[in-house]
Amino acid sequence: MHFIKFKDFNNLLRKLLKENAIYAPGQTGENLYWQKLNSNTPKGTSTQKGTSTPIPLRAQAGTGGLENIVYDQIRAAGSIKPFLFHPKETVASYPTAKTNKETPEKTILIGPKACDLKALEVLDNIFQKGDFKDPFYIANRENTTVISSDCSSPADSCFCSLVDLSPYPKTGFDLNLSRIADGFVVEVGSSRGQELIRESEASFREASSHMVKERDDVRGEVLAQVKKQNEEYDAGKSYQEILKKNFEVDAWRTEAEKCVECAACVQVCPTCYCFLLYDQASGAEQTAGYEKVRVWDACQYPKFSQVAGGANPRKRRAERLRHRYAHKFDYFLENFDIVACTGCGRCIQACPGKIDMREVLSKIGK
Amino acid sequence: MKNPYLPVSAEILEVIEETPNIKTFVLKPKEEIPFRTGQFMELTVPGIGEAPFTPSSSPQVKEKLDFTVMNAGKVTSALHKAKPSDKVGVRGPYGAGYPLDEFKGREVLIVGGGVGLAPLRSFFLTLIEDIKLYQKITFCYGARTPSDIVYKNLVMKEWPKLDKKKVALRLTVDAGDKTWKGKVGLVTTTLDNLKVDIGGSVAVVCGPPIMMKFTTFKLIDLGYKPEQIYLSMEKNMSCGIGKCGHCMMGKYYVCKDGPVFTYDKIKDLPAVWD
Repeated sequence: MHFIKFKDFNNLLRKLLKENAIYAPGQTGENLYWQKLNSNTPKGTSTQKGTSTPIPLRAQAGTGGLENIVYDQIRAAGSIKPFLFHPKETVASYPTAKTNKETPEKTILIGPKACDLKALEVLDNIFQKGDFKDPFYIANRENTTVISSDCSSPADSCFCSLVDLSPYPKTGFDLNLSRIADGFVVEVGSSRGQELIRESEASFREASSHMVKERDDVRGEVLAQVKKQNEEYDAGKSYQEILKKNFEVDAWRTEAEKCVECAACVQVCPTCYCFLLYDQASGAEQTAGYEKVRVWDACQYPKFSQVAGGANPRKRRAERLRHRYAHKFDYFLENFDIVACTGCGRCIQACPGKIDMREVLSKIGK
Repeated sequence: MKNPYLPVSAEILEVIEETPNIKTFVLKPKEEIPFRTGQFMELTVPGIGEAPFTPSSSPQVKEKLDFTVMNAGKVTSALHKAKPSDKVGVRGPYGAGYPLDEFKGREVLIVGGGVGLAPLRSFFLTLIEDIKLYQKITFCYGARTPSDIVYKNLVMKEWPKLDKKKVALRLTVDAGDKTWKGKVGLVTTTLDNLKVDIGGSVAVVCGPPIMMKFTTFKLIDLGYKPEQIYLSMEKNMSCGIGKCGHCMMGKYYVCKDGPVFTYDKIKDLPAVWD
């Protein structure tokens, strides 16, 4: 376990900015949003001092300067999915395949939380494994370094503890930062993370047991908070079991009546990966080329599963809502041995119909 | 790394009008696309879109691919306007195909409806190339009217000439016309008085959802076990590679885990026949 002072970490970021695009959460309005850092921050500007600021979140203009990075608090409003699985991209050009394929920019993500990392594990299963690998995701993944950090102020909608996660990362990062009084306790999670530390060895020192205890005390408190606020939803059995035993209950219908089919839940979801392919003409008229474009799609849209002949296996809202839940907690678990929900609660915050996943599953299970 | 979304360019060599709304396109892909019978491919109409089809030709024929396509949606209507020498794109093959090894030494009952004969033609051609491997083939096919029968030459002239000890054909139409001298009735009626060793056979079914539903129920009534019934599921297979989610049926990606499933695997899933 290592330790680095805020000032030294800022200097490290400045160094890394020369060769990487770096994104980190910054405050805009009530939420944290991903901001691309710029290197214009005057040298010597100190970062936040002291322990973390609790919710309500401070209002702070997002200038992209290092001084505006919010390391702890809570996951950003947006997930890190768009960095790896772009909302829209051309995946094929034909009849002549483009050969000058650009290598993605080397990217560092600062401050993803444990729930964000879990989402990467889910996406990895889809795009990196199996017979057909997705070259676009893989290129982005290979070019992205993940420096995660601990949560300090989970929102009411956070429920990572219900899906066997904690508000601090245990795996899936290159480096993890845990904020303590005068710097970060830094944990190494990969050889790439190890390499980063070796390159700036002078900035790091061994974390003392006192520092690690300071980290662990905060972690314990935050985990207890998440568990406490989700006590009422804890059914004492797995969501998979609830889904399997209550597939046909009427509560699916009554819950789905609140759905306006906007698919905000899918868009903000860090693990939802379904997409649509479409074809269009590309380039100048003389070249007469075409391209296949991939955009995010959503199983909550009425015609998502409809075939050209008109048949649609999920005609009703209730069937679509149920499918999304079953996919996350049952099908994905059966296919890949992990649950495809991170408990980040973004869907709860985004839903205009106030559908709360935890509540739905409680009602279904009753 | 291979880009799974990139289609191989293919030239249309021939367009065969099968019925008023079904055409067969004979394609010559720029590079050979080997496949196992029952696997499907994504056909791209440039700039319009793509849709999944199972080749209706035998995998033994390497340099050409036949696709029999009903005019049903955006992509297929564009395809129906295509002419010889036009170019399309092909991606694949995808899915598992028919498990031929499981069929060896057994009787095979094939039940097809309408354009569902397309994958079954590839399957049947594959079986008769090595007919000694199978006990016997009973091939039942139904179309709405005589003019809706696809592969008329094969179904009505060529295949009836095959060795009757090995291949029994049963043909029906839902509604006959003046020229029709054959059987009239739904395809399920061809399963009456079946001369098949049910315990020692497999049933392979492909057709519109409603036809597959009632055929399956009839086969169960006749004594077939769900694990002996092989069904081609028609779902919205878009990426073909088990990612985009459109074709999900329960935990299965029809494109990756199917499109052929034995009935026992899917019978308890929601909306199997929709």
